[in-house]
Amino acid sequence: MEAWPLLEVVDVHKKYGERVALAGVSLRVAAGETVVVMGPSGCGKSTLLRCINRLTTPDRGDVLVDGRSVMAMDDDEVLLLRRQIGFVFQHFHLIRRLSVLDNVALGLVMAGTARQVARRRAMRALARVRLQSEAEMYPDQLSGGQRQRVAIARALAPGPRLMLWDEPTAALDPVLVSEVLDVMEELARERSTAMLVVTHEMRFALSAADRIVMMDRGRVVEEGPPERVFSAPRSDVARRYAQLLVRQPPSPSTQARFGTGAGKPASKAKQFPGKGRGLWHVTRRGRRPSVRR
Amino acid sequence: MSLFRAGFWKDYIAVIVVTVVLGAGASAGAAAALDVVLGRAVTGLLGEAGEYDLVVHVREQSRTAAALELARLLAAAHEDATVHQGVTVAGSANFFIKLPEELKTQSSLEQLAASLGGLPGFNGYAWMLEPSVAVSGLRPGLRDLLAVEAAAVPGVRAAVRHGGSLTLLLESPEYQRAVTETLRERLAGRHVLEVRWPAGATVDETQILHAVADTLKPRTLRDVTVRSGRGMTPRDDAADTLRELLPLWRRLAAAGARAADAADTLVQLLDALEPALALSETPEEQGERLSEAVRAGHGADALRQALVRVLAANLVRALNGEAPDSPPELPSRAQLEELRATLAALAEDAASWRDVAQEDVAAALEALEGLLPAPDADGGVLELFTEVSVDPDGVAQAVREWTGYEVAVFASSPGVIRPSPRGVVAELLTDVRRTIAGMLAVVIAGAALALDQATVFSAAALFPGSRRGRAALAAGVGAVLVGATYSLSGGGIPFIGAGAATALGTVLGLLVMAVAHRLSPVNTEEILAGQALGLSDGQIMREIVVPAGRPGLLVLFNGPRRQFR
Repeated sequence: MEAWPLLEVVDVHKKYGERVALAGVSLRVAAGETVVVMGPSGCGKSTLLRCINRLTTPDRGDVLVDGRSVMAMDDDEVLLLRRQIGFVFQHFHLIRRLSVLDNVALGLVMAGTARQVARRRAMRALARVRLQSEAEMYPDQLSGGQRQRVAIARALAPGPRLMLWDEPTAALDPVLVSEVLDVMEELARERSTAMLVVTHEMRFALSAADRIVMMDRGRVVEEGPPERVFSAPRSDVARRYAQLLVRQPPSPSTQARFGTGAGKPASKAKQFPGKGRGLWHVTRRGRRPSVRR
Repeated sequence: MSLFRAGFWKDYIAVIVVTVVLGAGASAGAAAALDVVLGRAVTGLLGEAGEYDLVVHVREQSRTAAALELARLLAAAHEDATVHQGVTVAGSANFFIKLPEELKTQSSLEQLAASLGGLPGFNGYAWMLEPSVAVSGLRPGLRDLLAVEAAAVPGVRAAVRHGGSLTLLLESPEYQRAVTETLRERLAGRHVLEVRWPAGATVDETQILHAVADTLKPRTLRDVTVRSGRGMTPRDDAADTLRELLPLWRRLAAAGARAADAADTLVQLLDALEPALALSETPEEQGERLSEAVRAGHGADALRQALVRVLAANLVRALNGEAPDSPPELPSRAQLEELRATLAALAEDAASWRDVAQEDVAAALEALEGLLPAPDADGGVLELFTEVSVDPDGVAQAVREWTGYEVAVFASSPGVIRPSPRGVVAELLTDVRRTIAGMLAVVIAGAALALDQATVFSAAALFPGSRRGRAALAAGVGAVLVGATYSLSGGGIPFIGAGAATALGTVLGLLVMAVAHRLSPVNTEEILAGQALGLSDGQIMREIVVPAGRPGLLVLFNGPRRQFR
C-alpha cells in the first residue's frame, strides 16, 4: 500500500440513539485506488461514507483526507472538502427541476466557476458517461441507469480526487445495472480518482477493486485483495459473498477480463469456497485482478 | 441557524418586511374599498347628510295605511313637512321625514314623536337630526335633568328626549365637538346610584340625601328620581288616589254617625230651653202667644201654661229692675227657630249614617282596598346622580347609620355619548372596516406563513440546529408577521388587540412549523445532494429548496438571485 494515503479513517465510531452504526472502523485508501466495501445491510457502510465527507459527524475517531483531519475543519472548510469529494447516491438525488446539464454544472457554479466554464466541464463529464445528447433533458425524462450516470457525471465534474459510491446500482433494474457498472469500471481503470465503493455487485468487486473491505456490525471484519478474499475468505461475511459468487458465475465480460474458466458448471463452481485451491484461482494480472483456472 | 448564512438571511428578512408591508397594505386597501362600497350603500339607504330628520319604521303589511296616516299627521303638524318612503328592510317599511325648521324645537319634536305611536303597524322611529349629539342609556330622571342643562349649552338648538336617550340638535356642526365635550365632562366620572328600600319602610328621601351628602361629601349629588311617571299608567295613578282617600272615608263614616247623635242632642236641648224663649218676647208677642193659645183651643192647661210663662217672664224682668216692655238681649225667636230647623235637617241626614253599622263600612272599605293593586311592592326607590367615587357600599352604610334602614344600592352608567345616527353608521362602518382589515391581515399573514415560511421551517428541520431554535424561529416569525401586519393594517377585530394578534401569530407560527413538512414538503434527497456537492445551506435554500416551494413572496424574491432559473 502507498506510504501516504489519500484517505485514512481512524477508529471511527457512530451511534444513532442506541443503535451502533460504526464501532471503530479504520481503513485507508490510496490515491487512484479502488476499494470496495461490502457487507450485509445495516452494517454501517453508508454511514462510513457519510462520515468521510461529514454529511454525518462521527461520535469518535477521525477521518483524514490528504492528511487533514475532517473533524477539525470548520464549516467553510467542510464545504471545500465536499467539493473535492464526489458522492454518488443509491437513488441518484438529482434536482428534478434542473436539466441534466444544470444538474452536473450546479456544484461547479456554486463553487464559483464561471457559468460558461462550468457548462463546458459539465459537458465533458457527461461525455465520459456517454450522455451528451441528453444534456438538455430533465431527470424525469431519463431511465434509471441514465439518471445514475448523470449523478456520476455530476460527481465527476469538479474533478474530485476521491469518489464515494453508496450502492450506485442498488436502485436499478438489473438490465440497467450494466451501463452504470461499465462506467464505474472505466473510471476505475483510468485510476485518476480514488474510489471507495459500497456495493453488493460481485462483478464490479472482481473486475475493478484493488481491495475488498468486508464490514459486519459496524466493524471491518476482513480486508484484502478480491482474489484472496473470495478464494480464501476468513470471515463469515466474506464466505457468504464467495458462495454467492459460485452460484452466479461471472458474466462474459468478466470472463474476458479475468481470463478463462468463467461459466463452468455450477457443480464445479460450488467447490470454490471450499478449502484449499478452488475451482477459481484468483490472481493479479498487472494492476487489475484476473481470474484463471 | 446555518441556513441563514451566505446572505440568505437578508432575503429572508426582506421577504418578512415586504410581506408585512404588502399584507397590511392589501388588508387596509381591501377594507377601505369595502368601506367605500358600504358607505355608498348607506347613503342610498339614509340619504345625504341632513336630507332627512326622522325615520319611522312600520310593519310592511301596514305600509299603505301608515303612509296615509303619517301624511295626515305631518300635514297637521306643518304644511312643509315631507315624507319619503324608503326601502323595506326585514319586514319593516321605512318612511323618511323632512321637517321644516320651525318644527325643530324640543316641544314640537317630542310631540311629533309621541303622536307616531298611533300609526298603523308602528314599529319604532329614530331621529336623524343633523348636526346632533345623542346620549343613550340614560335613566329617565337623569335624561330630563340633562335635557334641561343641555338646552342651556351654547350651540344646542333643541334637546329632544326619547326613551332612554337624549338627542341634542345643534345650531351648526361646529358645535359638535364643544357640545360633546361638555356632555362628556358632565357625565365623566359619574354614575347613577339607585337606592332601594323594602316595602313598608317609612324612609324619608330627604334624610337619605342628607346622609349621602354629609357622610360622603360628593361634589355632585342630584336627586334624579322620577316620582310621578315612574313607568306609571293612569290606572296606577287612580289606584294611588283611591288608596290615599280610604283613610279619609273611614274617618268620614265615623264622623257621620257622631254628627247624627249630636244633632239629636241639640234639638232636645232647644226643646228644654223653650220656656226660656219667652224672656225674649215683647208684650205684644206675649199677647199674640196667649191669643194663639186661646184660638187653638188647646184647653185650659195650654192657656194656663202660656199665661204662666208671660207672668214669669214679667216677674223676672221686674226682679231685674227692667221695664216690662224692654226684653233681655237673647237670640230672637226667629233665629232659634232657624237653628232648630237646621239641626233637625242635620239629624235627619245623619240618621242614615247611624243606620249603617261601622263594621259594615270598615268591611266595605277593606274590600275596596283589596281590589286595588299592591302599593309599590318593591318598596321605595331614590335615584342619585353622583360621582363614581361615591360607591354603593358607602351609600348603603351611610343610609343605614342615618336612618337605621337596610337599603340596597345599585350603580349604573350615566349614559353613553353617541354621534348622530349617521355617525353611528359611520362608526359601525369603521368597526366593520377595522374588523375586515384585521381578519384579512391575519389571513394574509397566515397564508404567508403557510406558503413562504412553511418551506423555510420544513427545510430548517434538515439543517443543523436544535429543535428549540427552530421553534423560536417559527414563533418569532409568526408573531412578527401576524402582529405587525395586523397593526399596520389598522385592523381591529373585537377583543383582539395588537398584543393578542402577536400571540396569535406566535401560535400560528408554531402550528405551521408542526405541519410544515405537509404544507410544503422539502425533497430531502435534493438537499442531501446539494450538501454533498459542497453547497452552503443558503445556496441550497436559494437554488434547491425555495424554487421547489409553493409560490409566494419568497419564491418571487428568490428568483432574480438564483443562478439556475
